[in-house]
Amino acid sequence: MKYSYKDYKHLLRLLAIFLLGVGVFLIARALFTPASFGEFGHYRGDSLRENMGFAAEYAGMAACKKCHEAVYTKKSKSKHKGLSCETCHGPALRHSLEPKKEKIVKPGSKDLCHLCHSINSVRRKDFPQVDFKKHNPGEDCLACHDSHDPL
Amino acid sequence: MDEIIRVLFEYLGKVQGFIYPNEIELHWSILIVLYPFITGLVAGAFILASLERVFNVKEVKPTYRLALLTALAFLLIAPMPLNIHLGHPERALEILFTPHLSSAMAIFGFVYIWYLMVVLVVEIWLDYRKDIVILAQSEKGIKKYIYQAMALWSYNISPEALELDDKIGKFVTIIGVPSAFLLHGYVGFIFGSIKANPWWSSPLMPVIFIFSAMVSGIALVMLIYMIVSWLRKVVIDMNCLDTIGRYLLYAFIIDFSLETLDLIHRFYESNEAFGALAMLMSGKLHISLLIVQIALGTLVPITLLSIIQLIKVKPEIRKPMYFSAGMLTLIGIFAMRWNVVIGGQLFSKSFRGFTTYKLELIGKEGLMTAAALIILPVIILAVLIYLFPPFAKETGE
Ligand code: HEC
Ligand code: HEC
Ligand code: HEC
Ligand code: HEC
Repeated sequence: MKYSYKDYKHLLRLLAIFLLGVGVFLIARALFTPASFGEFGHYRGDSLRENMGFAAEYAGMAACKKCHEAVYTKKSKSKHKGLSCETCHGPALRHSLEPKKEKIVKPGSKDLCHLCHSINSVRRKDFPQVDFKKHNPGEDCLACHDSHDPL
Repeated sequence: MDEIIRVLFEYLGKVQGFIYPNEIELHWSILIVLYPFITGLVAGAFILASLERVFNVKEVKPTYRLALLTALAFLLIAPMPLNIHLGHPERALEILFTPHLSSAMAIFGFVYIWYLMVVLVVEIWLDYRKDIVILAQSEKGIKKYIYQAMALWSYNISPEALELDDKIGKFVTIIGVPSAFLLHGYVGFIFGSIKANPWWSSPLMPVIFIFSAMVSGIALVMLIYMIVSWLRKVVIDMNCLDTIGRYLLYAFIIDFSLETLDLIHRFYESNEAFGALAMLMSGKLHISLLIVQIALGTLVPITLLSIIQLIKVKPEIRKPMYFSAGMLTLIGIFAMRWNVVIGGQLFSKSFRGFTTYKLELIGKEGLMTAAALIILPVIILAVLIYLFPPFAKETGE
C-alpha cells in the first residue's frame, strides 16, 4: 500500500462526519415523524381528524324545504330549479338550526346574476345570456325577474 | 355572501373566457420561477467547473474554483424560494422524513443534500484543503479556529496526502457531472411529468432543463469572472474567456434546437390543447416568450457568440460582446423559466379560458422577495471568495 494512515486520516474524519450526518438524520426522522403517520396511508392520520373537526357550513336544499316550503316549490318548478338555495344565499347550516339568531343573506346586487348570465362566448350557446349594457341597464334585475322563478 | 360575490366578480376581471374557480389565482408564483432558475445556475456552473477537471479543458482553469464557489453560493439559496413559498419552515423537513416513490417532489431533499454535501462541498473541500491548512497555520484569532475546524484538525499536506485528495476529488467530480444532470433534470422532471398540464407534460422537459441550465450557469460564471477581474484590476485571460464563450455557444445551440424541436412537435401534433397554447404563445406570453426569451435572450446572444467564432474580432470589442451575450442569456433563461412556470398556469384546463398573473411588489411572494433571493447568493459568493480566495492557485503556479 502506497499511502499510510496519516495520508488519509482527514478523509476518514470526513467519512465519520458523513456517517454522523446519516445518523443524525435517522434519529431526527424517528423523533419528528408525526405519530399518526401511516395510520391510514402515506400521510398523517391526524390530518383526517383535524378536517373532521371543522364545523359543517352547508345544509343542503332539503333542509330549507322544511321551513321555506313555498319558495322551495316555486323554485323547483322554475327555470332555476337546477340551482341549490345556498348557491345564492351562501352557506346556511347555522341558519337552518337557529333561524332567528343566525341571519342569512338576501343577495341584492346584480353581480350575482352577472356571475352566471353575462354574455361569454365560451358558454354553451343555448344558455340564457344577456348583455348587461343593453338589457335594461340601470334597473334592478329583481324588479322584473323573481330569482326563485325568473321567467 | 354579497361580499363573496363582489370579490368573485372582481376576480372575473382577470379572467378571459371560461375558467374553473381554482384556476383564477396562480398557485406557483415568481418564487417557483426562481427555483429552477437558481438550481439551473448551480448545475451549469458545476458543469463548467468539471470541464477542467474531468474533460481536461485546461483553458478554463482560471474559472475552475470560481465556478465551484458560484455553484455553492447559489445552491445554498436554492431551496429558499420553495420554503418561503410553502410558508411552513417547521414542517419543511417532514417531506424529507417521509419520502415516497410516487411523489417526485419529496425526492428534492435527497437530490439536494446529495448534491450539496456529497458532491459540491466535498469537492471544494478537497480542492481547497491545502489552502485551508496553510491558512489554519498562518491566520490569527477567530479565523484561525474557523480554518482549523474546516481542516478537520488534520494538517497533513504531504505530497501523498494531496495526491490522494486529487484522486478522490477527480472521482467526486466524475460522480458530480451526472449528479448535476440529476439535480436539474429532476427539476425538469417535476414539470415534465405533470400529465394534466399540456404546456409542461413532455419527456423533453428534463433534457431542455439540463441544457438551459448549462447555458445559464456558463453565462453566469463568465460574467462573474469578467466582473471579478475588473474589480481586482487584473487582465482577463482572453484564452479562457474565448473557451467559455465557445462552450456557451455549443450548449446554447443544443438548448435552442431542443426547444425548437419541442415547439415544432407541438405545432405538428396540434393536439386538443394546442388551440389554447397557441393563443397563450401569441397572447399572454407574447412579450416574455417571443421577444424576451427567443429573440433577445437566445437569438441575439447566439448571433454575438457566432460572430466571434466566424470572424476575427479585437479583444476590446470581444469583451463587451461576451458581456452583453452573457447578460442577455441570463435574462433569456429567466424568461424561459417564467414562461414555463407562469405560462403553464395561465390557461384553463378546459382550454377555453385564461387568467392573469399579477406580480405583487412587496409581500411573501413579491418582487422584493425575489430580488432579495437573487442578491443573497451574490453576497454569499463574496464571503466565500473572501474566505477561500480562488485566485491563489492561479498566481501561485
Ligand atoms: C328551522 C326552519 C328554517 C330552516 C331549516 C331554514 N330557514 Fe330560512 N328562515 C327561517 C325563519 C324563521 C326565517 C325568518 C327569520 C327572521 O325573519 O328573523 C328565515 C328567513 C330566511 C331568509 C330571509 C332572510 C331575510 O333577511 O329576510 C332566507 C333568505 C332564508 N331564510 C333562507 C334559507 C335557506 C337557503 C335555508 C336552507 C339552507 C333555510 N333558510 C333554512 C327558518 C328556517
Ligand atoms: C338565483 C339565486 C337564488 C336561489 C337559487 C335561491 N334564492 Fe332565495 N333569494 C334570492 C334573492 C336575490 C332574494 C332577494 C329577493 C328580493 O330581495 O326580492 C332571495 C330571497 C329569499 C328569501 C326571502 C323572502 C323573499 O322571498 O324575499 C327566502 C326565504 C329565500 N330566498 C329562500 C330561498 C330558498 C329556500 C331557496 C332554495 C329552495 C332559494 N331561496 C334559492 C336568490 C336566490
Ligand atoms: C349560479 C348561477 C345562476 C345565478 C347566480 C342566476 N342564474 Fe338565472 N339561470 C341559471 C340557470 C342554470 C338557468 C337555467 C338555464 C337553462 O334552462 O338552460 C337560469 C335561467 C334563468 C332565466 C330564464 C332564461 C330562459 O330563457 O330560460 C332567467 C330570466 C334568469 N335565470 C335570471 C336570473 C336573474 C335575474 C338572476 C339574478 C338574481 C339569476 N338568473 C341568477 C343560473 C343562474
Ligand atoms: C324591465 C324589466 C327587466 C329588467 C330590469 C331585467 N329584465 Fe331580464 N328580461 C326581461 C324580459 C321581459 C325578458 C324576456 C324577453 C326577452 O327574452 O327579452 C327578459 C329576459 C331575460 C333573460 C333571458 C334571456 C334569454 O335569452 O333567454 C335573462 C337571462 C335576463 N332577462 C336576465 C336579466 C338580468 C341579469 C337583469 C339585471 C341586470 C335583468 N334581466 C333585468 C325584463 C327585464
